[in-house]
Amino acid sequence: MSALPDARPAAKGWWRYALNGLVLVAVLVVAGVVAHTAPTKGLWQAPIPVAGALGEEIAGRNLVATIDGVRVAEQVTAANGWAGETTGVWVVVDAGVASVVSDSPARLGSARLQIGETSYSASTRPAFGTIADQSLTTGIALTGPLMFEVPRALLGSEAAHRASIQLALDEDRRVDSQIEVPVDLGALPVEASVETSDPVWGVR
Amino acid sequence: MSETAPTVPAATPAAPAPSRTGRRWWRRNRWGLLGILVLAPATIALTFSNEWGGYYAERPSVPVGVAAGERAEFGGTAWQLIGAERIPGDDPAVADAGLPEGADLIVVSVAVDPQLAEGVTSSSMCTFVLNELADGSVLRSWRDALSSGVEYVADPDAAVGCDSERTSAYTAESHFVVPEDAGDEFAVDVQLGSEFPRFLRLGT
Repeated sequence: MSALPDARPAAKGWWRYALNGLVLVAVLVVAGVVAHTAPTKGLWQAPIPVAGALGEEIAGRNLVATIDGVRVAEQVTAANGWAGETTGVWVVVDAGVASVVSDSPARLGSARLQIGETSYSASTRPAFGTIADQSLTTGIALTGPLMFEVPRALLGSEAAHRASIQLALDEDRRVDSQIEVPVDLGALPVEASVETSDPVWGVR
Repeated sequence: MSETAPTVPAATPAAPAPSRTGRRWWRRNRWGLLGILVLAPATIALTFSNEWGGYYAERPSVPVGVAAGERAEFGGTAWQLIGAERIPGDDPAVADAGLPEGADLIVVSVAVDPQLAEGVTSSSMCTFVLNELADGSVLRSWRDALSSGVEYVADPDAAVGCDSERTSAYTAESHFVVPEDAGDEFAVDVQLGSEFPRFLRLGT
């Protein structure tokens, strides 16, 4: 009978260790779940998509844009005389863009055509014949063309049917609005050549 | 039964032990806990002040309000808003100014009085920004139209923007192109790079 007083604290100690172990396992499991489900740096710094459709005025934080139309051509000539020849094709996007709250400073710093995992930046070679990288004005649109040079083979790909035009204020697109408009490039006819108009500054 | 009697009183004094142990633990670690209570918020505050303080210090983020018509000393120069004239886009006076469709021109005149120290041969450069207000809060803003191609002269003797070569009192004129739907409550910011994050906000 003298062994009874010693047995009770021993049993109590065993449960305490077991409980500590369980709590430790639970903390590790929760930490693992949090680590695997928490947004990654790439995700929480990603551009904030603002989706819309062709012809629709789409407004983000400080960029409002309307994509008026999309054409595909083997050759493009800008109104300022610049001619783009390519072994691929030109995707010509007509768009109007303006800043929403402040234009000091504001530029169309990022104009991209996303096809599958690949993105193409709008050419700045046409200089003032394109609205790419041009200054924006608050509430007054700059309307004109964007030219993207893409490989011809891509037009026949499955991804071309789910291409996306993406516009943002800055080349560094992190944590700011990005206007995104889906476009079915595979359904567009390839014209021999297109001529674009001069960019026009004025309320649409 | 008499042999088991000692076990009951033996368990009784063990019951309050955890609370006493708990209290002892808090007392034993009180300085460490106090340190955590002080250091954790201090670490967070320091991190935020480094990141956000630096961000705001490098840009005009602290407005110094000046009532309409009042003269203010700022950055070694005296500034006073003389007037702001809004000219509708269809006014013949701006027919040749190159205004975009659907826009008005706002001409802002500011009296600038550089108070230069002896031997200083150039006055402050500055940036003017026009703000559209709604209930005293900034709704939208515009940079001046210097680089937009709009050409208009209200006062031939006035400088267009700040002129660092003028070392005595002069009038600086700044032009802003705003959409015709902009309201009528405005304020003009005077920004000097050397004075960031402070800048003048001149009421109109």
